[in-house]
Amino acid sequence: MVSADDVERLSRLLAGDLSAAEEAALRGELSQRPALEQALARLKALDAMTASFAPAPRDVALAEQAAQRLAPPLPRVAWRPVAAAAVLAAALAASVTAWVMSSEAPAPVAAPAPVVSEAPAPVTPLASEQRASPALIRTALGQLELLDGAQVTPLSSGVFRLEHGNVLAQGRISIEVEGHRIDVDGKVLIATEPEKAQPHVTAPMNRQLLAGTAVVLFVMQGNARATEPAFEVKNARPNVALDRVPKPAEMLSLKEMNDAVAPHSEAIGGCFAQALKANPRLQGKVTLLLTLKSDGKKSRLTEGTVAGDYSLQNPFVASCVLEQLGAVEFPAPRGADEVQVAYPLEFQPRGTGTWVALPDDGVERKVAMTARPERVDVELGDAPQTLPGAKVTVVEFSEHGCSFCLKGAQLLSTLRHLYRDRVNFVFKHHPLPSEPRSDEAARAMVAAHRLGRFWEFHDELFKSPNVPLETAARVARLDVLAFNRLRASDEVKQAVERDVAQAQALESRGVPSYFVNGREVVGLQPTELRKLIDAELAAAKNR
Amino acid sequence: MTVVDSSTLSRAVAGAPDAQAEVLREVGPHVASLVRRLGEPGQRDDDTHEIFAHLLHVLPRFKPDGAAKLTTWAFTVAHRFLLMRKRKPRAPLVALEGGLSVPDPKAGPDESAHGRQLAGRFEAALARLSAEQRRAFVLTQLHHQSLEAVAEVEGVAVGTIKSRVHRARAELVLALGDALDRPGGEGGSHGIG
Repeated sequence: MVSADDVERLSRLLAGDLSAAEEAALRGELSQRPALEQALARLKALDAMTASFAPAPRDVALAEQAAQRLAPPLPRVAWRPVAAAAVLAAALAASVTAWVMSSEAPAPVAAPAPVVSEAPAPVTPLASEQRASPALIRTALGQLELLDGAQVTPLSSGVFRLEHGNVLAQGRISIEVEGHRIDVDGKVLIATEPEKAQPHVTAPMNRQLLAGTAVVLFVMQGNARATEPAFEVKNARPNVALDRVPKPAEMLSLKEMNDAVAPHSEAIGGCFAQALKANPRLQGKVTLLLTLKSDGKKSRLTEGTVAGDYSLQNPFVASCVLEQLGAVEFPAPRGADEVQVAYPLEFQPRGTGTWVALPDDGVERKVAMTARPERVDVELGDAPQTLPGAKVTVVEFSEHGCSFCLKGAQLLSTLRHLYRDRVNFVFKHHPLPSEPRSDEAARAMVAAHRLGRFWEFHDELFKSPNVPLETAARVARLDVLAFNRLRASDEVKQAVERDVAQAQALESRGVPSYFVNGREVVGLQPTELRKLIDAELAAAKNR
Repeated sequence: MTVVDSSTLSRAVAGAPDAQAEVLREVGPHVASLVRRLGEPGQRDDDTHEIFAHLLHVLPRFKPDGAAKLTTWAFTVAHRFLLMRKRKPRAPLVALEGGLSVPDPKAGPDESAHGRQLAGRFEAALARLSAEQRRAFVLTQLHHQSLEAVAEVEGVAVGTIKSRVHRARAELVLALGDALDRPGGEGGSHGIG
């Protein structure tokens, strides 16, 4: 007999915690006592097991739940105040790494760091040469002063796009710049060339902070609000000297991204379709943060994550989409070896299919649809049926072993009773490859079917997850000898394999799943299932 | 699992919710599994969420450039938190489904079934250890925390923790018996030193 003290000594031996004398004595004992040797092997087995420990899926789920509560989806309002109205003068500059002044979602952490916040920074009288040619654009509600050779394009009433240079916007006026739309209500200097903007403000600028920024707002009066661009280059590692850092929009355009992603949009839609089966109400947006690394000619996804502003509450979809994007060849960003882009995708169920929208780049694109026919043909073959020829047929794909399948069997027996003279219930096998018992049980059920007592055996079997097959066979009053011979036969094995192949061809990936006149319900959804059966019955009556 | 980068960590320490969510995704699963084994039955989910909240509350005290790794620090916080919980004497824990870990995808069906069964028995045996031994074992052997870190939180000498771990290992080997003999169980030893 090996005692706890013995094993404890072995444990100390493995950890090197024994003195030389103790170790020598124990090794002597080991050679004498096979039981001790066995305990040592078991101790090593325990170590091997604990060394590879990973948190269980439920632990991961708990953490994910908490994380999702922390960073809730952004409100639908896209506006974000750049400076509060009360602050008379606040010069804002984008952070160096963010390139543009937008921040990481969600609020309230704003990346733009105030450079000057206390000292008022009124516009100084313009330098004479600048004063000589200031272009002034008046609008109904405001005016736009073009500084430093700025160039703007009018877009619509009160909305201008700043192509380059700096402008002083006053009143109520909107400026689009670098993919952002800035709505001014007050007096704001908008600079794409901040180094030239210094003469216009009295406050000193932090040049270091400004280096590499794409847009700087100096809010002198009132406030400005900036929208997040849908697509954005957030960070980049430039491959050129820092004195001429390319602007984000020059590095990679949304159209280029979409062109690369579009051929894969069906596969991306497939990710959503998969998740939709488990949650039919799923829909929403997810913004992926993609890190693309360039080899000079093209770039590939090296890392991807989900930005905080998602409304699609399903981590599976995002990880599946990232996997699909791993196969995409993206264009190489210009002037950068590595960029991080925010790339939003929107998913919606459409009829029986799914719909995935790439971010709008002004190009008319066919939205990707992963359509699944509303009804599929489910060949019944020689599967057990309760009411052949009925107008409504429910085919269940299930297996014996999964807990939901056991509950599914109870549900089905209730439904069989409830609809006994109206609906044909059919059972098909879809054993899980990871469950040896599941396959055995499937073969046993086929054998019982061959012996003409499928439902009796099925009901007995599904009463408990552990009932021995022979016991269930006896209770179901099967000829046990014939039963055993049949379930070991190749013919029965092939019958199970045919069902599995059929389930796979139908893309039924979970058990239990049901086809009500060819319309699929995945998982144990009693209400959904009954609704479908009733709908099909009603439709049959009207035919 | 991605490792939280230093800028995310700094932002999390500064209170950015999205960065804090990242931190939770990183350390949360480990903390949750720790609580599942060391927490009070019936309280584990509540405890887990409470500890998550507590972790975020004290996160500003974490020094991203300090010596301790984020996971080590999180374990220490969770460990202290659990020790402060003085609840009524515990009922024996029961093994839950979910087991020790996800089944090894490389293992054959037979091995994975065996693995699950073994995991279930392991959890049950773990639950029968004394609380002191279980804490020492779970923290050092399953979550690979150092003996010193565990000793400090427990307020005992390193040698005491070592003894508890050895004793726990002995109890587990005896409790699991021949379940440990199956193929796949053999393998390297990482000891506790």
